[in-house]
Amino acid sequence: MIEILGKLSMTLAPTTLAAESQPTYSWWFRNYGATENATHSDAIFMNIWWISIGWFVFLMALMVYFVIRYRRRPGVPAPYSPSHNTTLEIAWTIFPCLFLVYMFLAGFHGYIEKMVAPGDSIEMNLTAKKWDWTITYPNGASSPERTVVGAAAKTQIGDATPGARPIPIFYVPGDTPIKFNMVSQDVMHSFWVPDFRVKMDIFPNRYTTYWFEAKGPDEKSMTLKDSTGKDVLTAQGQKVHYNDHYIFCAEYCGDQHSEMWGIIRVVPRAFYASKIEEWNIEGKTPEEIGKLVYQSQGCSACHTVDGAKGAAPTWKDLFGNTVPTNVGPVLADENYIREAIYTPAAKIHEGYPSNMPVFTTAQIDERRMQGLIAYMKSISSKAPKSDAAAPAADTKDASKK
Amino acid sequence: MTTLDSSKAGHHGDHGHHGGSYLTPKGGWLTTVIDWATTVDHKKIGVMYLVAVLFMFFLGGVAALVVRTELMTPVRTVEVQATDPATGKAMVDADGKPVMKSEIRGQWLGEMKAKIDGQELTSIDGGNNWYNRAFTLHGAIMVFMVIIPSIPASLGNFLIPLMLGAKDVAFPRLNLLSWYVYVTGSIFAVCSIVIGGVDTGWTFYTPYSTTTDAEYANVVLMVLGAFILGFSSILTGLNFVVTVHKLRAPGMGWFDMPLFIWAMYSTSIIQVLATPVIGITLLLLIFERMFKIGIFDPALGGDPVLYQHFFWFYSHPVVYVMILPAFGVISEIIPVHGHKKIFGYRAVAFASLGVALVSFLVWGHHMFASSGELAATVFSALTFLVAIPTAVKVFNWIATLYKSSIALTTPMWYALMFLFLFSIGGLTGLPLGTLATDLHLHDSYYVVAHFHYVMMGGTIITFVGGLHHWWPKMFGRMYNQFWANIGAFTVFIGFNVTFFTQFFLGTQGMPRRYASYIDDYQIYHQISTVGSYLLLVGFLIHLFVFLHSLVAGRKAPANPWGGLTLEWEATSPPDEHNFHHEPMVKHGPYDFETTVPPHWDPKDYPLPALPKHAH
Repeated sequence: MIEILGKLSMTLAPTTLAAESQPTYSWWFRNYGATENATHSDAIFMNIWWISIGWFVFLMALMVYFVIRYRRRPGVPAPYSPSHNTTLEIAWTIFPCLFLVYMFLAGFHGYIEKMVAPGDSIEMNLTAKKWDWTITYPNGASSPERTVVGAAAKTQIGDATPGARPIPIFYVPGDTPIKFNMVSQDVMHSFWVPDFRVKMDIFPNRYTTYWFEAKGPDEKSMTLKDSTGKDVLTAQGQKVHYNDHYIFCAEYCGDQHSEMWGIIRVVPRAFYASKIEEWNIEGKTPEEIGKLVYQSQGCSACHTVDGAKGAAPTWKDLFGNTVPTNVGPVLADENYIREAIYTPAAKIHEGYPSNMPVFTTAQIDERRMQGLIAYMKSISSKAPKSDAAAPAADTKDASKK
Repeated sequence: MTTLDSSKAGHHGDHGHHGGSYLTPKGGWLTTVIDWATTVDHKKIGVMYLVAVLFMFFLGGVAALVVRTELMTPVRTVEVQATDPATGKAMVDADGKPVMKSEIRGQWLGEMKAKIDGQELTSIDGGNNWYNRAFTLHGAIMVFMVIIPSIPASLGNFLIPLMLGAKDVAFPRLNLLSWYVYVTGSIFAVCSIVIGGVDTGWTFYTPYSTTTDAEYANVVLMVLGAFILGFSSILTGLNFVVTVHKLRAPGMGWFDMPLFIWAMYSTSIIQVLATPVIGITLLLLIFERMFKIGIFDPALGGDPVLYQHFFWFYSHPVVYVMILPAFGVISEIIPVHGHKKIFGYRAVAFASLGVALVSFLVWGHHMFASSGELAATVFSALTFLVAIPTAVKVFNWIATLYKSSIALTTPMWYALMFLFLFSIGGLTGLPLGTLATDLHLHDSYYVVAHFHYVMMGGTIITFVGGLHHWWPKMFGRMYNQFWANIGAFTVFIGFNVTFFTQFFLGTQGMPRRYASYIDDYQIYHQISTVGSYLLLVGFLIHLFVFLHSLVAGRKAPANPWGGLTLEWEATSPPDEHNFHHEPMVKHGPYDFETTVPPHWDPKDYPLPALPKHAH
């Protein structure tokens, strides 16, 4: 059955028909699809659009003509006509079916294209939580880069500033099939990259997958700049081109649903490889690891490190101080922090809602946990300071306790 | 010329000995109030439903305007230099560097909330929270309290016995009970709003709905409200099914029934069969929330996809509970105001039943993006199947216009507007049934625009059109057609401006239920918001036209449009017991070629002359 469907749909496969060169294409889409599947999908959409236009204009023209031609005039009888015609009625039942069969088959074909990842895809893990995304690369690294679009860095996407906080940037290699295994840590979310024309829901109790093969950046793409505005150069001294694509959460998930964004940044494969190596935690001090985890696991979405008010308690001067909770005041020591990350519902900080997502030991292993604690100590005035003159050495000592 | 013997009681005739119309007060105001509150008269219950539904429509409309107004501007957090509140000067720190603070722009709901709370706006959460409550309120009210009961409970209650030639529905007391159940359910929902509102979206998707605002009762109240409203639907549906089966006037076979009755009959079957599913689902949701019984929440061992299956197993058929009555109304307005027999009566009648049957098999198309299973293929195919009977109906209506005699009255304008809007609604559904394109469009503004074209452009437009069609019958007064037409055109333009732009928003990537967005979308949102204000103006014009009609409208003749169905044989407004004599049906509901409409008076309304071969 499925094979027959597959063969049938192949014969009707969306010839790309240069969807983007059609008139009215630009009404519907801001930019050409960033993957080949997106282009196919747009071609199907445009075909349905023209079919719909045809039907709509035909029906409305008839309606308007009849209304004018047969409007009521005083004393003029209606020129009656039969109220039944079996041939006509059967014909207009069957004829539209032909169009529907095309749409079904083309849709089926495109669906399989969008759903079934090629076997040689690079697999990455994506976790969603209120209201952030984390992608873990094959080497275990996560992207710590974030941007307040518009304020911090002008990106190709434009200067729109989303909500209150920086959104994550995920580097992926261009012209390479990539497959995400996705899971949620709290409620349902949905991963949508409009430029890829695919979305897929994310559940807390099962994995769903999402794959794409983004067209790589070319000479016309933007060049990557660092925070001071200077070009980022590869080891060979070349400029780095990139394409940015928005990620939106498409399944309603609460207060900051409309700020649960992200950016997929498509870069050349070599640059991607150097990036994820840079973010690898091997060979870093606990404090550095903690800072990477803070940025890459989305802690920064709610917790600030400069004392500013966020959706959750700030980490500035948290460690070593007494915290008011629903079970009474608690000293924020190593064990409190560990508990607050692995079983956040145990003690709730007063004045904040109980919506911290649960992390597992797989997401934050012992090394990363120690790193986080070291990082919190480094930004707290109450943390033990054995040697104030050598803060780096200090945090290393502290984490060994 | 008429073949109906009851036609001798013309509206000019003296019928004072019948006790007057159902609207005649029984005594003082207290007696009248008690009389209405305890009435089992289907007409009064229909009018009470009408008032209740219109009130809820007003509430839901206000929520919609709040949503649209918030979306005029995207929410932005910007870094600005702080000013000293004492001196009003820009602040600098000890080193002379400017002190920065973040400021939230473009969130008037947040600013309002901050003003009410007497606090500074420091986070976007407060405003977003209000926004989420506003769109949930809009959705829940419009679906459960307006569109589902709109045509069936108000026009249906009023018209079904009249069209069947009966004195009342089969179970008049049950009918009154269902109104009270509706009001009770609505009160629960309003209470939930008053104590803080619900931010779950009208679909109550788990596990969000079972965990949000955990310490408050809002969600439970709202869900309980929807649960109670379900019983109102079931009771009304049951009542109508029995009424149609048992109370048809002598001489009225199944295929002599007006198509409005066919549509209501199909609707009622869906209501009786599907509503228990949502009832039990909502109850399970409440159990999970209150007693932590794991059904849908993975944290308790449940499965959120199960909820989606349960929810849409009801909520897809219910889409047809919303639209089938509209089909029924259009099938009345077009023949009457076109003065021509409907084309393909049986096809239209069976299409209603066909739609009702297939509607139970397509719920999965709301979940194409849920898990990417092959079952989606089956649901896609079945979804295209349901398009056929719907398309056939549109063809029939347009074919009815052929060689008719079209009077461009307000109801007819509404019917034409319906054909326009519903065609757009139907055709834009095609890329949603197509699997590949749905993965892009699902949960985007494209879907929002599509279902507003069907639900509002289909059902609400038809509801207002039907109200104009039967208003003279219901209240015995004509209305100012000029201003009613102005109102209709304003609604039409406002509607298209509001919702057509949203198609483009959706394909370009705007997700639904967003309080904010990227800058590229702003112009579309602004056009859409202006359109929604135009819609408000249109509905206000209608409101004034109706109020003016009640106070100063010309007295309506019994049959102002020249209809042939039985309700036009009763006086306007009908007597308490509908008919003076039990009507005998001797002609079909649309036999305009051979029958002179009852009570026809050329002074009331000019009708085209009958063709020569009429007898």
